[in-house]
Amino acid sequence: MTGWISSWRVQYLAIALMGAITVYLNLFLTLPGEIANLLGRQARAHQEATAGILSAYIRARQSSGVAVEEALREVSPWLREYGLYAMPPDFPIALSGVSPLGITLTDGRILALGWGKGGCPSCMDPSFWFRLLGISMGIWVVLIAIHLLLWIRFSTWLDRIRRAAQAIAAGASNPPLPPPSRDELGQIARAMQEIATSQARFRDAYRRFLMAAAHELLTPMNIVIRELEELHSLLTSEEARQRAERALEHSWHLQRLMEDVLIAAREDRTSFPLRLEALDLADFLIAMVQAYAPRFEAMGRRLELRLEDLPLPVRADPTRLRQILGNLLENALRYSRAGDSVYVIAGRGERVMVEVQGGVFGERSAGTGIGMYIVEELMRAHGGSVEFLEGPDRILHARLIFPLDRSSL
Amino acid sequence: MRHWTASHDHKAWFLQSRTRILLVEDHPELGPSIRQALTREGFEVILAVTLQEALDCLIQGPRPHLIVLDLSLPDADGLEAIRTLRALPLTDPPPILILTVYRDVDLRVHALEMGADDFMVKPFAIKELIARLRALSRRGRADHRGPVAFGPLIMDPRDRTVRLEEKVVSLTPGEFAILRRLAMAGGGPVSGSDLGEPRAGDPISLSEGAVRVLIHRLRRKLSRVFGDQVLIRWNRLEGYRLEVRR
Repeated sequence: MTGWISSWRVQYLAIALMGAITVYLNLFLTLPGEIANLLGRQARAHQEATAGILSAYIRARQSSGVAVEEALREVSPWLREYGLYAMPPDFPIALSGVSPLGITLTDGRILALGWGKGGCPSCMDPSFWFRLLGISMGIWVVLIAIHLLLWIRFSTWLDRIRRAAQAIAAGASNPPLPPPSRDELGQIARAMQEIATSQARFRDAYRRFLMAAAHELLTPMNIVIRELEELHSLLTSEEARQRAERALEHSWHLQRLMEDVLIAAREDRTSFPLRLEALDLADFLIAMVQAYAPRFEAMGRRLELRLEDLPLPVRADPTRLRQILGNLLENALRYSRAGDSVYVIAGRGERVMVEVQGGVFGERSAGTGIGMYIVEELMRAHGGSVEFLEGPDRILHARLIFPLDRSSL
Repeated sequence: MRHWTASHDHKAWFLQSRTRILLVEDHPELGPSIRQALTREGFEVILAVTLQEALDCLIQGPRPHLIVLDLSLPDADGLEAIRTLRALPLTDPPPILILTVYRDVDLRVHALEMGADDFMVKPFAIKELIARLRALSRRGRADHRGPVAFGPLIMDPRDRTVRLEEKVVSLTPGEFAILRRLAMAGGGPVSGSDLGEPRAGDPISLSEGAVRVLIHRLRRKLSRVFGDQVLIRWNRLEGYRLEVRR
């Protein structure tokens, strides 16, 4: 919920809507008043001008001997149209609903300006108000549409740049950046592409350095091992043989470390894009455990898979999955003792969980941890994670957590 | 098949009964040197330098008890060699130990899935190879990889197919495991919880819910291909029972 509220897009939309409502209220409530006012003043001016012209006409008629009543009858259509009233001199103007402003005719009558219909003829017409409403609504809709367009454009861009940033964080050298543009957004996208490129260049150099170093070290190491083996077969004294064996064991360990470094450098996941597919992890685990069980048995260990739920739908790259589980099982084999049991337990809840129990990691000092580093990296690339837990007897368990592929449930 | 009796004195044990090993290794120095080391330890070693030689030896010569197979042979891709060896119609297929220069976990898992039993990465200590070979030969081979028959129904774990006359259905690892457990019961009833229990050579434990899901899927697949010739019956008192009609 908080995530939803704190989303930039929701906040922006809320602000834009509030702005739009304010604009609409302004348009609908204030502007029509202003327009009516304007129109009213205009009508008033017309009324006053007409009253002036008509009184001049009536006076002219009077001077040529025409009675006031007669002259008033002659101009009566204009009087009606402009809301003008001819009042007797004693007419209580204050109570009559006509304006006290007026033009006094020669016989003392007042040609008064009425407040009524003549004030603003079009203001009385409902269709006028509907038209006004339509115009203000139209303006408002256009404003909202512009807002929405801007919002869609910017939030699409933001979405793309977010995905690109995540891809860069995950190690992609070609992140899915938004299309190039000349504005500030385009500059940000270009800067991000530069970050990705330089990061890839650095990683590549680092990887090549690691591979070259491991390679260079492996060659003399292999010679040392061969010489030691030769020496071992030549030695006759038991103590000397034991010492040579110890030296050999350490040399093999050193060689394994270097080979692990080589593999880790080669297995950089950015050089192997994941090919995700929907699969049932349960079937995968059954096949893996069935394949590995004879090896465990041959080395005096027991391997068992416990499937709590079925299916276990995940989206994963089968090759990488084989690597993840293979690494864990290899480690379990290496660090468990004869007679030990190793359990692989799998189930699902909100996520799919696989736990490998029994000497998965062994003692940290004994292993290189590079196999586990690969597992961690690959799990992260799958959108999951791995946890190493310390169990009884100082044995570490590994727990793999995959996102559940609900679409395949 | 020979049955070894375990003895603490390995030398004496090997003198009593020499284990015959088919070593498939094309390296001109490594092959003879491994042979020499193994012979010194009391193994009888037949050396083959190509896959073809190995196949000839398996078909014509005395049957080896173990195969040590180098994954980089001149005439076969490594994994293809395992597949070829495993596809031979042998009644008692010998365990295969793989020698490889690759440390990639992926390749190892592939090799194991295809039917190899163990592997070692070169260079290795000959002592370790000998220990592994002893473990493999001592284990005997409770073979769970050859085809299993239930009446006219043939189940092949190598590609997880089930065959009845001309009709074939391919199963997932889980479905195949359940069907094999039903077949192992010889047509007798098995309760849901018993079906989920792990057993020798089949180390998978399934919850009752998982068994139900697998049975459901299996019934659907079997009925689609075999109609009502292959049925999994269920009743509340006894459990599940596999039934095959001709």
